[in-house]
Amino acid sequence: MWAMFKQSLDELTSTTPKKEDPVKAQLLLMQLVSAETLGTTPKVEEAFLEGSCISKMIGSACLTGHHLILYSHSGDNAEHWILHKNVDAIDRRFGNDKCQITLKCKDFETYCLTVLSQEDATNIANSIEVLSSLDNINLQYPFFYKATNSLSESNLGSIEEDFLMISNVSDQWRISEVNNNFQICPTYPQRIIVPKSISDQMIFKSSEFRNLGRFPILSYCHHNGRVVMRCSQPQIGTNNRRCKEDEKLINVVLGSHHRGYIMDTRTQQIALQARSKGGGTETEFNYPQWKKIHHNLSRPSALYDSICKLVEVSRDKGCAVDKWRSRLESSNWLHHVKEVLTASCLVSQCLDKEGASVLIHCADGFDSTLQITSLTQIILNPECRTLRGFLNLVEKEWILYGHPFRERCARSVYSVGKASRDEGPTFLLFLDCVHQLQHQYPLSFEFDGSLLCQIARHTYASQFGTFLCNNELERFTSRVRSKTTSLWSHLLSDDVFPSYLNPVYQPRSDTIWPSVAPQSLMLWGELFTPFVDPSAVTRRCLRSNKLYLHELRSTINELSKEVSQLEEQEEKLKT
Amino acid sequence: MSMRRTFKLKVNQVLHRPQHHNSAASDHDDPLKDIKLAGAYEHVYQLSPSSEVDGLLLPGEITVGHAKEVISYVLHDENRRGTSGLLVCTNFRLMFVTDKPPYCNLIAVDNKLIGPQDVTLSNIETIYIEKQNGKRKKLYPTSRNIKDGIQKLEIHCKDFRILTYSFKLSVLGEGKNIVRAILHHSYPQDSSLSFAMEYISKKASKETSTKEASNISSKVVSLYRKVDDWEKLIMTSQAMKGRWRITSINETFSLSATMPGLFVVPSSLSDAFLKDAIHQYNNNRLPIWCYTHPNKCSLLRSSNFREESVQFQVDQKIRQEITKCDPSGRKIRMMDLNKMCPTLQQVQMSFHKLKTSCMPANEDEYMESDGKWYSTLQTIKWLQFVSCCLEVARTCVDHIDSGLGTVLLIETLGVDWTACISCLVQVLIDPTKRTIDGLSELIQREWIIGCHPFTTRLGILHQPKKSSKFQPESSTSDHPEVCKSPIFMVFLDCLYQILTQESTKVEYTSFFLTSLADGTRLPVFDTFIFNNERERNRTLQQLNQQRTTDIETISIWDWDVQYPHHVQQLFINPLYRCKRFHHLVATTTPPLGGNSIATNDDVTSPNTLDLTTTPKVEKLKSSKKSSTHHRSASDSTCLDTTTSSMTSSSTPHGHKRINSNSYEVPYQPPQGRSVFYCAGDERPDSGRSVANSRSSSTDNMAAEDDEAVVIGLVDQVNSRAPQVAERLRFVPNSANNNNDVIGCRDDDDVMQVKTGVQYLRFWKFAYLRWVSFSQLIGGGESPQVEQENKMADEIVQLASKIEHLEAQLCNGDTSVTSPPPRVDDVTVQFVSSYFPYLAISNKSANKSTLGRVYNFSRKKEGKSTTSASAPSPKIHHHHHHTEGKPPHRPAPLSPAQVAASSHHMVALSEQQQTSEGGTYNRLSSGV
Repeated sequence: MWAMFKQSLDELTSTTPKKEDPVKAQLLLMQLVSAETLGTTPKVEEAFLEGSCISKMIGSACLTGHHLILYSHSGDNAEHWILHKNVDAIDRRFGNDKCQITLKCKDFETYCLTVLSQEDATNIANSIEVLSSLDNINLQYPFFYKATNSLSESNLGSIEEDFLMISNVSDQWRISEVNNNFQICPTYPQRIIVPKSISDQMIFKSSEFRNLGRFPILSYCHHNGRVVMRCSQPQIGTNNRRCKEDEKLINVVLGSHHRGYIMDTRTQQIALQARSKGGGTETEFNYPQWKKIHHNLSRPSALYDSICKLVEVSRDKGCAVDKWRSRLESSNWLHHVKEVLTASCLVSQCLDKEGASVLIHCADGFDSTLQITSLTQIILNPECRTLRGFLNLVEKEWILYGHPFRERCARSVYSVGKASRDEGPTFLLFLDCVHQLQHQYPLSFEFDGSLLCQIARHTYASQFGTFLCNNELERFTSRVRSKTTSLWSHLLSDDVFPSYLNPVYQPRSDTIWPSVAPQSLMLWGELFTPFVDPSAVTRRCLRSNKLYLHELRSTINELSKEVSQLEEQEEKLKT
Repeated sequence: MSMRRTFKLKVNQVLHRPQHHNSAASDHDDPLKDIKLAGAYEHVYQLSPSSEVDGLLLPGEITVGHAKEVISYVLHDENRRGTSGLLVCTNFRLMFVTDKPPYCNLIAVDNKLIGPQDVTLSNIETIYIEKQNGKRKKLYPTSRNIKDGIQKLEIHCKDFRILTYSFKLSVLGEGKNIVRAILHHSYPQDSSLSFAMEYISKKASKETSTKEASNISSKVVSLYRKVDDWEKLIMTSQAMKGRWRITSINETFSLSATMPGLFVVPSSLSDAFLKDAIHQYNNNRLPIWCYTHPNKCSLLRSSNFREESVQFQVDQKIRQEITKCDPSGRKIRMMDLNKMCPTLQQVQMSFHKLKTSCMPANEDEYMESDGKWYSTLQTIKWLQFVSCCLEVARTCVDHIDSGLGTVLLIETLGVDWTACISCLVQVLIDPTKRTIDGLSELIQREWIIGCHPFTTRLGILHQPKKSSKFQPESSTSDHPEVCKSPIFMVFLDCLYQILTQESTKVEYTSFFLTSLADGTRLPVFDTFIFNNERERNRTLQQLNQQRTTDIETISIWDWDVQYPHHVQQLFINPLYRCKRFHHLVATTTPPLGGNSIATNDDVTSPNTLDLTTTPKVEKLKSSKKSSTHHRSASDSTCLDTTTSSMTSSSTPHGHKRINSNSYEVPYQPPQGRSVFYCAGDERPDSGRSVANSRSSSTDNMAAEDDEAVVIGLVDQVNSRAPQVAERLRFVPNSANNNNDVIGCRDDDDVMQVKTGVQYLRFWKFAYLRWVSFSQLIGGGESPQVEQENKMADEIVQLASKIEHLEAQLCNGDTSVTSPPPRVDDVTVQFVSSYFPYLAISNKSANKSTLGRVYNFSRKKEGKSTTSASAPSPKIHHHHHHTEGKPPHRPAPLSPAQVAASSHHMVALSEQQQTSEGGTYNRLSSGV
């Protein structure tokens, strides 16, 4: 029966979505699913849903192709939707009189669904299990989702805008089409900014020298003209290859008098060991103008272990009073936060204080490298601390330049079995670092913490297509950008973005230097322990104050108008 | 190589220094050389202490020693930079006088009593000296043989600050003299020797004629030394009427040294019986009344019944009578705090550990805690103790609030945890105790009048018999009567936790709490310098015997003595201020609109993948807008009637009433504040009577609104449509009060404090405020509070403007008084995370170095100070500053004195600036 189901699914994916419209496809999917797996249980009339962040709901549970929906019976028409994709693991506990299914979600929430019949429970659990692990991209919910509210034209990550900004500082750059059709690097966008004096041919050579073709490319241009570049490791290998074009490419960025830093986010030892596998790290001999820095940042799989422990601690409400903090510490998550922040500060310092350009890479150049490049920009560039600027940064650094979201976010903390090397919350760690900055500089960010939480949740399961796929090439072939709605356009739409604004935002033009002392780093309460986080209350109060201020102002306007009208009337009467 | 050369040259230019000095390391051991090279030797401070300092002294303060040309180092500065000036020791404080705060862009907040660089002698915990040979030695109060040649003086304060002075430049012997003076005066053995006695007697004689009406505010806080205050307390409560009475059997403190002069007991117990019974209790402390809930359950505290006593019937009788005070006759619940709370020694040990981990000597030590911070915090156990106290308080609150019966707190001595828990219970249960005045009165009543032995617990007096007292780690004196233990600090920390969890429900701020903590080390007030009321009375009597008129003591609640008005505003939590304000409006507008303010962001709040984001917000907003407008005119009229009838109605307990218009209420600190609790004293029923009494004059609808105003000021309870709020919010299983969930609705009188260690925050603002490494310029909570304050000010201002306009509209009268001017806000250029404590050093503000945070760059910074592109800030800045703007010593230095004096900022670099300006070398080795 399973085999049959799988087969029919494959058929479905191979035929439907390309030709037919999404609604039909969904119907088809639903029919198929209900026929084959739900058996007789697409809907259960009596079910209870409990969750750590919702109130207990009593109602009927309904299973669709993408959601488990619970309608409340209590008359207030409450509904709760759980996306199948969000389910990380399912626990079944079947008793005689009631059956409990615990849904452990990728956003760290857990829900407990109780139904009376064991048959229903088994059916529901099996269906969710299958539906939550659908791999086929065309069956993902974003391809079926139609936005109900008006969306804004996001236009983030536009290269022209970027280029315009850079041209204000330096005229050494041009837009190149060398990566058209992703010829030389599938994880870079098609149009890229490269140094003016470097020909496309040289870039091609350089990309051959770098792992996955990720040649050194501009990430950020500081107002003093110094730049941050990113790339992957050079393929020096055991026979000490070198690439003149690659050397030229990065030297030309420095100009004649300057020196720069190369930051390798691996230890020196690991970097050297990589040569046996064809990788390696730049030698001082071949790159005399560059100084090497090794700053060890953990690989995604290490982060994965860390966050599993962290979530286990933070969700453990029965934890012994005298153990909690040491368990928190042993999860090592805050240590990772500290390391990433320190590395980013280091790069910011090189740029801002030393006036030196920096080239950053790890092995592949799309994990810790991106953490550092993006955090550096947040520290240095006030523009990145605005709502739009931040989203633009995420789009530009993480989406366009190939952070493999599909692989990294395939599973979350609850899933059983060892994580593969490709899984790990790299992006979440970045968001946590932003949260630390935000916590330390509460006035400097235009958006507030809930935006970060929301983005974090959407990376794992979403109705938006933003975090689908590993890179631009995949998105291009699946036509993600044309067929799905972007999270950014949702977040920037007129009726959504005001709720993410920081009510006490005070734009400041300078850099924000974070403190990386352990005393200054906080557990991200809003994400990891949302049921206790007091910041939401404060924010609510602040925001209502802000609203109230607006109201007062408008009332004043109206009243003054009335007053002046009255005065005019009086004048008339007198005359 | 050539690059390095140029780099070095640039540094030399910056430092005005001949090149050869750069190469030899030994040259820089002599600080004088630096000064000469800096070309500023002439400016070295030449102040004559006798004449110049006098103007700075408080009444009664005498100079007892001084040293000239002392260098005061910048706290935790790697480059050992400092300012030179005059170090003066008086019988009150250690004072550092120079005409310019060193390396500061921002001065600490104005304190009328002590300057930002001063430290009171009672704040001094331990003194270390360093000899020329670099030997560091700890001094004890008994240390006698202090010899010449003291190079450095390091003072560790009780508020976790470390002060370092160097006598390198002073005349030989001055260092020794001042250290002797400090040592001699820092450890008084008798509270009659306290500076407060000198101060108040001298101040009284000076200022008898200049008593003004300016200090009305201080009179708001009842001190509970007079019967009136107590009467006010128990007469106003309907639940207490006739059941409890005030007794004055201990008025002369002859029966019990550790009981208040006046206290409240069940009315059925006769004085004769009490006089007899009092001796059957440990420490002679009877069960005394603390609080009565409107449901008639009460809270009492007492010491243990004497174990050796045979008169059990006494205890039984007292309990019976207490039970009778509750008309429903519910059983008393005994809470034995000896078992539930940590011991005094445990707290002291924990606090000591806390202190060690929060006072890093240098940055390396601070960074070493890296990765261990959380486990350190755990082994310190401080937060566990705080959690424990909150938990006990919560148990009591649950018991009382759910009407299960009266609670009696019991403890061996009845003066420590009973005070702490009883205060916490009242704060959690009673909204009126969450205002600043309410809280102040509560602390005054439970802690000060309740005879918490502050002198002993805070270690203010030195007990000569046991020199080991000054090593808290070996505080073997286990006897609770002489044990040093910062219970009061635990209490303040608990209040801080309440503040962080429910920031909108309490009026005080973190700054208020730290000010209280600091107040315990400021021996100007009579509040925290005695062990009990008897001691206070005797000391004052002795003092009065020598005089014709009685002198008047100053209480800490008289904040005017310490802070100017604008600083006192930092006490008031802006969120609370606004909240009150909203409520005022929210209750006078139709329910939907009223709720929309508070909750409409919930509609769009992060739900899991909410696909159905409908524009509800807009709807709510618009409905609100129109409703406010339409109702506003009629509201303003009924507000007026409220006002008139309120002022005319008799005020039973002499409190100020809403005197002008209701809009003004929240922003009149501190006078205006009284409104909240005076209205709160009367529970909704009496509020109704006020409204009903004149409902004939206005129509019914308006009367109801008025009532809402009156009550709404106090209790947010009266939100008319809680269901709406509930639906929009995630309200978890409302049945159980599980502390893990957001159980508190806004309209809930009783606070549901979460007590799990997970939910407690480390109180950085109190414990880490002197650690400059983690200072964030423009960051941290303080700037946010600043912003919130501004917002609150604006709201208040706009609202009063609306009021004004409405009045114009209604009366057609343009002669109505214009809205009051805006409250003067503190103008601050830079606010740091530790504002108003730690001044921002130029170093950080210039952003020329960041060594404090990143190990990597600090190593580099040691070498070259900064890269060639950024000029060294040290000496340059100093020159710039000495000329330009008028110097501002924050505290009491008069302009004339400032002009007379000059100062010099010394740049001492102990880390040699020699090694080849190898930024690049260091970079790689540093990582």
